[in-house]
Amino acid sequence: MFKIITKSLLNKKIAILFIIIQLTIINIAMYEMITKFNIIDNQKMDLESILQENADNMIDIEFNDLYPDQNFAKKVMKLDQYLNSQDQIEYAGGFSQTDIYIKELENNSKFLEMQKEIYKGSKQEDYIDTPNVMFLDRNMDKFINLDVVEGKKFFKDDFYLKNGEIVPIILGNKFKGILNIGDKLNAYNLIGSEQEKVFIVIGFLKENSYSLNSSYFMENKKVNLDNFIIIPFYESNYKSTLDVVSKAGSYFVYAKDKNYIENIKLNLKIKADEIGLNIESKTLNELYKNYKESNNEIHSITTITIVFLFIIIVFSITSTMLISIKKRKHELGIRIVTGASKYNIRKMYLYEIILVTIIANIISLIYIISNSYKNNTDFLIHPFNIIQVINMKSLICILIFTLIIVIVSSFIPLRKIGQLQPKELIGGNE
Amino acid sequence: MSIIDLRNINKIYNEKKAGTIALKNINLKIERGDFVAIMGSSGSGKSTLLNIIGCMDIPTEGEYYLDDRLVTKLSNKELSRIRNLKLSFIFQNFALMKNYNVYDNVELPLIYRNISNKEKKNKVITYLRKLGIEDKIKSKPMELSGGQQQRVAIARALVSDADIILADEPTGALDSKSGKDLMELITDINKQGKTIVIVTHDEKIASYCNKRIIIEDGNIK
Repeated sequence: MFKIITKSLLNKKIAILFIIIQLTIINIAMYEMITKFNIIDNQKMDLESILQENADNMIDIEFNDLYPDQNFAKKVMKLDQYLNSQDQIEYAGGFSQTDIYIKELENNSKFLEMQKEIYKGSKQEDYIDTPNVMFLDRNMDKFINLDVVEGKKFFKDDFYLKNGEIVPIILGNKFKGILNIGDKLNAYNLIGSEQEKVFIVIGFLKENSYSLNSSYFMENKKVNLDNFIIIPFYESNYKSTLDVVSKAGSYFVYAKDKNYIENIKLNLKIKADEIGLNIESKTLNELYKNYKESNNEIHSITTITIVFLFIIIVFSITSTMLISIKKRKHELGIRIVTGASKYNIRKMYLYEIILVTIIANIISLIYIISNSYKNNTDFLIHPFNIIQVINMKSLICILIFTLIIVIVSSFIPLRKIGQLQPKELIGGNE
Repeated sequence: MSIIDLRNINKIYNEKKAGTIALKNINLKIERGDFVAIMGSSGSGKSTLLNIIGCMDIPTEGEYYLDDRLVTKLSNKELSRIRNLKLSFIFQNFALMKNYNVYDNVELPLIYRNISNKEKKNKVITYLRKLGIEDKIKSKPMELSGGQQQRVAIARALVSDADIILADEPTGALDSKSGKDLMELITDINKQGKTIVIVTHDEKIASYCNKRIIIEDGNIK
């Protein structure tokens, strides 16, 4: 049977190639669309799982003229001081994700081993000697899920340290066994006001602690903090232009009550205008709504494209099968005369289209995996893990979708086979 | 007991409209091992009769017993099985699949049976050898002469080991020498016990047969 199918497929190479290309495109488009839908839905759940506070009370501030110069940094700090002095505001602050040089970790084999294991196969594999750090503004530990399982949390004073003071740090869970509470670490080559700093380990986070991604958190995946060092934005950092600018990239205000939100936003606008900052403020729900709306147009276009492709592919497969039946009437007649039943003939055609679909699905899968791999190694902090990276729900959807294509497009041809009369088929030459 | 037993067979095409009567009240018995020629002019109904005998068409009325089994009441699936096991065909145009080689063409009836590839291969090679075309096993039909193509068709008819071989103008596309060789081959096959029914309008071909059925305007004379 396989020999017959491959021979039959090779006899109509161009048409089959065309169908495979169409099926592959439609599969990939379907995958991307369903995955996008999933991401949008999951994103809100992710946000809610990370945030310890009520999302309705949160305001995200976007600095439209964000630029790393001293003047901008001063304006941001002015706004920061203003916001933290308002009665209706519980707190305001930002966080920033980066990596730093730490003497004690550069040649620490256990640390390097941990990093290597985490970043195996990713582009970050070459930069494992510098640990990831998350700088937090005061009160931001409420904003990010900082569940300390060993040691202690940050105190308010930890965010008001002076130059030369030792900075307390909390480590991700994977640092257990590599460093201990009380260990001192020397950071150097710091970008900012100081070139060196001494840290002291005060605690460890619970395993699988997560933070929002400091780079466009609404679209990017949450960050696993297991191999992160959490450092407070200590007072001296506020003098550093780059530190201020980096925290301005992810800056939030938490209102004491959600009824204050509109008033806070209005005052914020007035104050920003007065200082000379161009800002936009949105609640997390507004951000989510905007994000969803901005994707709706893309979804509509993708959906129309998929429907259009679906019609074309069904038409292509149906017509190719019908042409094949017509062209092979003599052969089918010979088969029927020598004992093939209509079921055998139908099975032959069905296997053909299933084989073509499998080929297209394999090509789609290779593309999806390689594309996901590329995206992950390029942009994400976590290593490539096929189960985490490939959206299984989307894959199942495209399998069902291709099954529907097979059923719909083979309906007419299979009926046509049922109408074949052996005595009419056998006459004449091919 | 007759291997082919047609009782009061009528065949009308386009029955719902005016209707064309192809066969009228045909009663025919063919015994096992017979070598029968069905003769008649064009449009006399001889090919329709062969199609009914070969289970490729069903009569409008009447009963057809093949090896004591009433085939007129069988389902399409059962008819396929009968075509595969009981009947073999040889056509004027050879009815070979041009995209497949000699081996694939001869193997055809066997692929619809539940037998091993090894057994299939042995059978195909045995008959190709018997018919002297073993060296053409990988050739495509178009690369063969008319006589060789008809031998391939005969090998396909024999490989299924069916009791009845039906031939529709088997020498029609052959020159006289190849036609004569073919008829001698078919005669040998008949001598080995196979029942052979040949549709022809050629007296010379009919002379090889031990029974003649003349059909005219759908009636047996």
